Amino acid sequence: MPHDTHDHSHDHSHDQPALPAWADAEVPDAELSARQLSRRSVIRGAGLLGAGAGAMSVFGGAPAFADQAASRPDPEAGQPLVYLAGDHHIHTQASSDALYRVADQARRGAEFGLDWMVITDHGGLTHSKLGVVNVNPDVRAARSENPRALLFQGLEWNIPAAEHATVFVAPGDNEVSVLQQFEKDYDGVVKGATDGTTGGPVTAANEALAIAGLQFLAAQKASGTVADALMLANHPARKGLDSPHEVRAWRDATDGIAIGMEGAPGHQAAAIPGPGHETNGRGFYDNAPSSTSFPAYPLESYVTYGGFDWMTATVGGLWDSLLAEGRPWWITANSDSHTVYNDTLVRGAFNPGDTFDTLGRYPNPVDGGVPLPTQGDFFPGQYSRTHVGAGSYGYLQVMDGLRKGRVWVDHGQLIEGLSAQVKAKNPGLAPATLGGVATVKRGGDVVLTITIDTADRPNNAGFLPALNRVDVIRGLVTGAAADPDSFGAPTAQVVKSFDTSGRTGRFTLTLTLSKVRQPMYLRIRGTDGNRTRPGLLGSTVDPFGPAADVRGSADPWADLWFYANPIFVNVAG
Amino acid sequence: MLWLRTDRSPTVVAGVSALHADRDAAEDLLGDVVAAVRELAGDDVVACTHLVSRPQRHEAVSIEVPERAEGALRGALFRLPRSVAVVVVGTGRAIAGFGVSAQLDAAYEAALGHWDRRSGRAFVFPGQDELAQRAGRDGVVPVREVVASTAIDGVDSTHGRYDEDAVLVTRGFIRPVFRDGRLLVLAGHDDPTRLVPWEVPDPTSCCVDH
Repeated sequence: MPHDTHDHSHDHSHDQPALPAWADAEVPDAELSARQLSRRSVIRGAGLLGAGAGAMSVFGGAPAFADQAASRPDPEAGQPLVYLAGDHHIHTQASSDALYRVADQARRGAEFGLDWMVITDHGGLTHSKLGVVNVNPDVRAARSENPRALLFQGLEWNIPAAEHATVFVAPGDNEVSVLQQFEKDYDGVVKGATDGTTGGPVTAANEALAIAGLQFLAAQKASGTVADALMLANHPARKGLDSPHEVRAWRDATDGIAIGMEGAPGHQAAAIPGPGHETNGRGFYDNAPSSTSFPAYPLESYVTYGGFDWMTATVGGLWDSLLAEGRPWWITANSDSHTVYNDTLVRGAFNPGDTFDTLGRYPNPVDGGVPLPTQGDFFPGQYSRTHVGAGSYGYLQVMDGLRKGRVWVDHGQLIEGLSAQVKAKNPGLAPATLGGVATVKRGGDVVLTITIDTADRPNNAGFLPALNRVDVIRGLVTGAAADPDSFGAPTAQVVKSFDTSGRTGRFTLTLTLSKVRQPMYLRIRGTDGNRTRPGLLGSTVDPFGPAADVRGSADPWADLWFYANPIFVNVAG
Repeated sequence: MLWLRTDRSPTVVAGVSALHADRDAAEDLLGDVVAAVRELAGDDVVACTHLVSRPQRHEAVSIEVPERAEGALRGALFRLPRSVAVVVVGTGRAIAGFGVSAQLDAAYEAALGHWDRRSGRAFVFPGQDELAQRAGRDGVVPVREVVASTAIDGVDSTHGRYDEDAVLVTRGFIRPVFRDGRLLVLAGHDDPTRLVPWEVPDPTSCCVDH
């Protein structure tokens, strides 16, 4: 299989990763697709892709965020969006279960073609005292070294009473102080507030602490202490800890701090067959119901489906139940990179007397000389990408695009580009792209247009992925659920499947929905078609859905999917 | 062990709640009880954990023994800490309970779930030791042998039908569950000849203590 032939050299100076075509100076503009050219242009426009650029070593100049406030064209005003690839879930040596330097992760991510990344070491006592502070100079240095890649500082929040989440802020003078204050006052581990047992004596107080934490972040933004802040729930179904009412409460707590969740968790190499992986679930999803899990979640929710979390992969499931309420709740896909499959780096030795708790980090990694196949992660950008639509290049633009849901995600570089638009047939009403709301007059027709650029270069496992099928999922927007713990959406189903096998380059798919009388949303999913199975809610809802991943036997390169966030359709008149 | 699966010859089931959040700790609670009934019950012991909801979600436990071991069971139950609640059900007798009143509902739920074969995850079951021996070092046993040599009634794969000659990859750790009257191993498969159990002995507990 592809990954067997994929040698991840540890020797950075001689590494030859496949740069995306748009970033590869060897590829002239004339050979790029329109989408690649626009992406190159936006990077070049930010002064980050000079003549001869393309290898990381030649980049220089000031960090890009210095001029982030400069001209911000409004994407809704007809300005073409450029989708910037990123990862909001990355660990470093400041996490007690990881090892890489910030510089290692930032460089790897940039080499694998990412435009933006978020450093998210685990919240905790040691991190709140030392790690959150000590990592900042490394982050700032990496910004200077790799100006093409936007590097945010964040942390992985232990949500009181729930799972983990990415929390990050816009770069600025107060990025550390805000994150540190947040961690000291609202991290579940720091505050001893992780318990979310249903019916337990401290659960309500802990859930309230999570809400207060999100409100704290909103207040920091409102006061201008930081320019922006976001929260995204990580591996939400892994242990069944994130109950539906908590997810809804996070979203509703503030005006757009908590905006989404990992549609696909990281650790996608965890169940590649081999030594040490025998009982691993893909994504390390190998847990089971426990005293702290949400009681109504079925056993099936504890594994991934085609690498995606059950909340997202189930058509008619939890994500659709939120969208059916018209809730803006978006999905992402990230590496959760701690220790990478077949990498050779190992932790360096502590000096006598030092520990992780005294330093707040591990010593710099050293080359152990031996590939470590028992590890289960990928580097940022190596397998998972979150593509965010931005009108121009910059930190705030990425955060804005995330908040607006202008996001699609893919695995294994399945496709090169995606854009979609919903437009009413009758003129004069606003069209919309991913995350947006199009309006149609009651009884009118709407047209969904999907433009896809297929993969044009071998992916990071060395083969050219082929897109076999694209599905359109439709759900009606029926208003707030009576039960905040509901996780079903009975109207959601696959309404159209396009056979895209054999198609290459750029092509367009269209779907017309006639006589629209009710508000709805449309979302898009595509696959290599290698592994499909009727969805968990039956073949009338999802005839060719993703198959449940099997413990110790899930080659991630042989089961590729992309997912896009929804486009809503409102009905006027 | 035929009594367990077919004729339901007279048995006694006790449910116990100590409000354990941790499943291993809940299993440990029954350690002395299981040991105390072994002499009379032999291999005919089923002990389960149950996720119950009252007064809060926690792990309760249950144990089933043949009537011949009832005396040993009751003696061991009375030696449990005072912080537990116990409910005993048995063939042709009234349901009896004692202990912390707020936990009686949970003990009852565990006892009845086990008695009716509706709920419970068995960490002790007839044939368990023999299964470990059959599995040997590679941990693989044909499903047919699993069913023939233990109280397990079958293997259910969430991935659908599998070969009748399929093997179960036990790795020395099998925890069947009661579902609709049967004791089943829940598994998944990619290869229809190799079934992989859902429950693993050491699930990834990333980062919980940091």
